Amino acid sequence: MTEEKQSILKTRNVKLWYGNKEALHGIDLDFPKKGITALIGPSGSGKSTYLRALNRMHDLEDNITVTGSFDFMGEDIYAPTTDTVELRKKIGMVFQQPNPFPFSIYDNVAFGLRLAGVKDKDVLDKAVEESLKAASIWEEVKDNLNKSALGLSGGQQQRVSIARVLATKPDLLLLDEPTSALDPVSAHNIEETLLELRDQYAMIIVTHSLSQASRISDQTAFFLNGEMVEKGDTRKIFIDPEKKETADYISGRFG
Amino acid sequence: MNAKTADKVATGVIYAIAGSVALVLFAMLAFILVRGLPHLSWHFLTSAARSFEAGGGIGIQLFNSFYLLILAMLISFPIALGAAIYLNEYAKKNSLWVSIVRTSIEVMSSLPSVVVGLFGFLIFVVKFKLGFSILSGAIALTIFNLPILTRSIETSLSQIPNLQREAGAALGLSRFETVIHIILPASVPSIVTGVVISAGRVFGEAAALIYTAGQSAPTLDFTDWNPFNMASPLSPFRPAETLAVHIWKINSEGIMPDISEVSAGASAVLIIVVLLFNFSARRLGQLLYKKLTKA
Repeated sequence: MTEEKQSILKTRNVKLWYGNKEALHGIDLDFPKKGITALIGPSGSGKSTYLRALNRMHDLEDNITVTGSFDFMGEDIYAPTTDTVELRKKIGMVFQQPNPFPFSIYDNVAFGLRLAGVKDKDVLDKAVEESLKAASIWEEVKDNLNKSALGLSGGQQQRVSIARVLATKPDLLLLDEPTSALDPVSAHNIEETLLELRDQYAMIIVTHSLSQASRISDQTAFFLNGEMVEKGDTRKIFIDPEKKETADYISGRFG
Repeated sequence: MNAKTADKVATGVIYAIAGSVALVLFAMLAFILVRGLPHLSWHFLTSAARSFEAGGGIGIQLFNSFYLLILAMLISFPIALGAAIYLNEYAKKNSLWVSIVRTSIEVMSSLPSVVVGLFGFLIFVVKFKLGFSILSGAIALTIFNLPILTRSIETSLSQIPNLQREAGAALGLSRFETVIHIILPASVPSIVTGVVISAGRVFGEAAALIYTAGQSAPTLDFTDWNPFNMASPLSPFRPAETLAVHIWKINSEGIMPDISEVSAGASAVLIIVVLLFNFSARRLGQLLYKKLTKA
């Protein structure tokens, strides 16, 4: 099988403007069908901006222009005919701050399915259980599914947020610094969760933590000042990067 | 004077100022309640007013106040909710259109209520031939209430963190679905608090009603609930003096011998109802929030 066929998403020459200011200067990146890709780089390097372009989150803001080609399993993400609602069901997202809805844990996870018209209680029960298990939080909440998700700890809330996304069966999962607002133990739990999921999902994670990127990702791309400087197998990037900027960043000389 | 003493003095002054604000309120409440409470009785609360002799009540006025309040809320709430959703969820921040809408709301909220009343008189009472009626009054109250209610709902919506909107969008919800399924449920407690507090304001409003709902309270037949009969309490086409208007009316031109007793009693009832609205608003909001987040 060629590499072409294995990618779930191919982006070419991605540029983004805030008003007149160009923030991304032409990013080319491919993502495989399974496994974790880490986007690393200092603050303001454009990695989160790039990530949020992938499920068109920038549409929610005024004054942002995105150009370039985005081939998502043969579909053009930015085609005028693309239904962003449908698109975001296929490309799920987990945010930096855990953001469960102010409902019960069960309702949070069942939310996407209910909205898609699933009413059968058995189907919902099963999906909720599977998703919570996949997000490794089932054991902690299984007796309290009717309690408010807001009563959980930050790390638990984040895993419920992950379960909520998984319940809608996305093809691609975007994670925008999912552990940076959490304590080390919770962060570790989330990492374990992601490792469990890496064989089933394509995931792209933006992270400030180099050690996290090295622990969980299969491939890594290094961003700097709105450019993608280097990409490759995580091992290669961390041990033997080709570019000087990458080596400097990895070794902690800036950022 | 060293910094520490200066700080103590300043703190004392600030406490005193804050205390005097509370004192004004308590003094006023005490005055009204002490004067009014002795005159309250079941008879006073339920019987009709009398124009020439002592012993009249405020039953009809009290009913009118509540009925007008409900009608005014039924008209103004959907409009205010829609406007607030538009302004907070859909409107682009810097467009000319939005700034026109915002300025209109601000100007509307600073209109003196007597001007709203006179406008209502000329347009609804005279031009549209609605006469002095509950309907005219309810529309005038809507104009009076709309800007405040819109702002209060908008504030409620804006307190929901943007994360929730992003979470909705990222889950594949349209903007409208996000508003209906996430933002509104999350803001219900604070919206309810705002609605009840504005209800208190509307309940006590007099100037906007004098020329619209009228200054007379025809006898009502509380056995007739057909809204199309003029004597029915539910008829929106009958004139309806409210409690606040009644207080104004008897103090300016009342000729019954027990004016001061009726006036004091009516004022006490008005204040008590408004206080009840204010106290229950927060409780109700908290209760709803608990219910919503637990279920």
